[in-house]
Amino acid sequence: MTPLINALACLLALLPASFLWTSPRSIARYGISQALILLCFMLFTFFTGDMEDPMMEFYPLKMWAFCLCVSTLTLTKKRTFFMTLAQGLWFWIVFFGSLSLAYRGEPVNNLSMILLFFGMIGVQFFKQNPKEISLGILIYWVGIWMLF
Amino acid sequence: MVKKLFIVGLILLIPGIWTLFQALSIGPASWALDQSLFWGTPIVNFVFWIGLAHAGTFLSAILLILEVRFQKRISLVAELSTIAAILVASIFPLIHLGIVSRFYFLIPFFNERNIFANFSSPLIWDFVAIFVYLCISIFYIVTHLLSLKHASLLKTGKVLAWILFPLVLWVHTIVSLDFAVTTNNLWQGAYFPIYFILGALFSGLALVVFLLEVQKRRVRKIEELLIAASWLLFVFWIWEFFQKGVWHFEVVFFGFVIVQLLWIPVLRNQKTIRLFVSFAALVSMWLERYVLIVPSDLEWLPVDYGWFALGIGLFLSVFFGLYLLIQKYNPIVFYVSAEESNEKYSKKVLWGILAGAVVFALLYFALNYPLDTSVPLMNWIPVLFPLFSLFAGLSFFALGVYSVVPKKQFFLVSGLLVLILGGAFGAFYAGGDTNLGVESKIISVERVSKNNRPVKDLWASRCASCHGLKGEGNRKFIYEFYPEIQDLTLERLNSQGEDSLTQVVLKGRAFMNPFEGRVSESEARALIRYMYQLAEEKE
Repeated sequence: MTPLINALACLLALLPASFLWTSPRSIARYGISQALILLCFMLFTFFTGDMEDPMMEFYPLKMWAFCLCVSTLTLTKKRTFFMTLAQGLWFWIVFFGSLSLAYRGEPVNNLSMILLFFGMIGVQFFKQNPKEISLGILIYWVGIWMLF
Repeated sequence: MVKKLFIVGLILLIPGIWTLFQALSIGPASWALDQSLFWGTPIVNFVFWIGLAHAGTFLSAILLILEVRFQKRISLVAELSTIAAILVASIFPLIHLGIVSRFYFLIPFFNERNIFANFSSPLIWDFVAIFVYLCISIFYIVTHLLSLKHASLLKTGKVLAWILFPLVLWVHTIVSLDFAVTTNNLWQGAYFPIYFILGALFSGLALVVFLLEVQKRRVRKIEELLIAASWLLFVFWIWEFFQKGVWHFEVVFFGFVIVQLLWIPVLRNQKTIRLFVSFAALVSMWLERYVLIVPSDLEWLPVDYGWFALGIGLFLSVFFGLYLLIQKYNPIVFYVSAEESNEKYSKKVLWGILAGAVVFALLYFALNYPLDTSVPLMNWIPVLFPLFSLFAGLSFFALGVYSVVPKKQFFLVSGLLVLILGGAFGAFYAGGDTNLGVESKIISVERVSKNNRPVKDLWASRCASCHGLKGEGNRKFIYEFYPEIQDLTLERLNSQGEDSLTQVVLKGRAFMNPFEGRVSESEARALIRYMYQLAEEKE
C-alpha cells in the first residue's frame, strides 16, 4: 500500500470516529453501524490495496480499531477505560495478525506493537484529559498509523 | 422442562458413549478423513463447543467489568454453560490425538523424563489454554456462589473477571492460531483471531438465549447483542469472500438472514421464534466450522453422526445436572445477586500477586527455553499468558476463600485438593510404559534379505509418514500431532549408537511409537543403518 493510500485510509477511519457515539441507539443499531463502517473499510482496502500483500488481510480491522480509538476522545464518561480497551483491540489485531503471518514466515513489525502497548499504559496517566492532551494522544495514534 | 432436558441429555449419552468407545478403540479410522482433510469432524466439534464456552465468560465477566446491568440476571446460567461447554470441548482434541492414553504428553512438564513438550504444536497451546480457562471459570463460579453469602468476595469476583476478560479472548485466538500454523491456505488468515472471537461470541449468545428460554426467562438486551453480532459476522463473511472467494449461502442464511427476524416485534415476542432463531444461529456456527475445516465432501461414518449425541448429551447432562444440584440447595440462586460491596484489594496485594504471576511465567520460560532453543520465541507466546493467569487466578481465589471460610475447613479442603491434584500430576509426570506389551520376536538378520525386501521400502512403508522419505521429517503430518523431529545428522546418530536406537524403534520413546511386532529386531537394525546412510548422503 502506498503512503498516499495509507494516508487516505487514515482520513477515512477518522471520518466516522467523531459521531460514533453521539446519538443514543439500541445495541443492535450500534452493532449495525459498526458493521457498516467495517464494511466500508473492507471495500476501501479491497479496491485500493494490493491484495497479494498479506498485511492487507487485517488492514481493515486495523482501520476499525484506529477509528474506535479516536472515537473514545469524544466520550465524556470512562474515557480512559475505553481508550485502553480500544487500544487493546488495536494491539490485539496487530499482535495476533502479525503472529499469524509470522508463522507463515512473513516479517513482523514489532515497533507499532510496542508503541501501542506503551500507549495503553500511557493513557492511564491522563485521567483528566484536557483538549491539549487529547490532541497529543490523537497525534500519537495518527503517528503510529502513518509511520508503522 | 429443566428435568426433561436433563433426561434427554442422559438418553443422548447412550449413543454418545458408543461413539466415544468406537472412536477410542478404532482410532482416527472411525471418522471421515482423507489425506488432505486430516482434521475432520472432531476438530469441527471442538471449535464449535469451545466457542460456546465463551458465552459464560463474556456475559458474566466482561459485562461485569463494563458494569452492564443485565449481567446480574443471567450471569450464573452463563457461567454454568461455560463449564459444561468446556468439558464437552476438551474431549475432542483428546480423541483427535489418536493415542488418548498418552494425552499427558501434552502437559508441558520439564524435560526430565526426556519427553520434551513441543511448544510449536498447537495441541500443547490448546491444552494449556483450555485447562487454565476451565480452572479460572470454576474459581469464578465458586466465587460467585460464595459471594451470595459473603459480599466481601465480590472483590475477588471482579479481579477474576479482569483475569478472564483477556483469557477468554486469548483461548479463541489460540484456536485460530491452530489454523495459522498449518500448511492449508484456506486456514490461513491474519484476520482469523478477531473473526474467531466474534464467531465464538455469536454462538455463545445464541446458546444463552436458548438456555434462558428453557427457564422461561428473557433478556431483550441479549437478543439485541445477537443481532449486532450477526451483522459484524456477516461483514467478516464478506471479507472472507474478498480474500478467498469462499461464500457459503447456508451459513449466511442461518446465521444472518434468520436472525433478522428478531427485528419484527410480532415475531420477536413469540418464544418459539426466539428458540428457532437461537437454534438457527447455533446451526450456522456449526456449519461455518464444518465448511472451514472440511471444505470438500467426505462420506460420513457413524461416528461423525455420533459426535452430535455425545456433545449435546454431555452438555445437557452436565449443565442441567449442575443446575438442578445448585437449585436443590438454594432454589432462588438463579434469580438473586450479591449485595453491593465497595471493598477492594489493597494495591500491595494486587500488584504483589500480579508481579508474582509475571515471575512465575518468566521462570517457567527461563527454565524450559534452554532445553530446546530451536523452538522460536513466538511459539512460546500462546503458553505464557495462560500460565500467568493460572498463577494470578489461583492466588486471588485462594486469598478470597481463605478470608471467608473457617481456617480449619480451608486447610483441610485445600490440603486434600493438593494431595489429589499433586498425585495426579505426579502420575502423569512419571508417565506410562510405552511398550505395547508384545513379546519380542527375535528373527535372524537374514530375514530382510530372505524376503528380498529392500530396507528402503521398509523405511517408506513404516517410517516415512513421520520421518520423511529422506529423513527430513514430514512436516505436514508432524506439525499436527508430534514435536518437530530432530535433524538427522551423523553426530546425533553416533551420540546414541546403533543398539540404543534399535531399542527405540522396537520399544518406542516419547512420541515415537513402539514397532515391536511390526518390524523384527533385524529389520529395526537395518532401518537404523539406513538412517546412517541417509545422514551421510545429507552431509
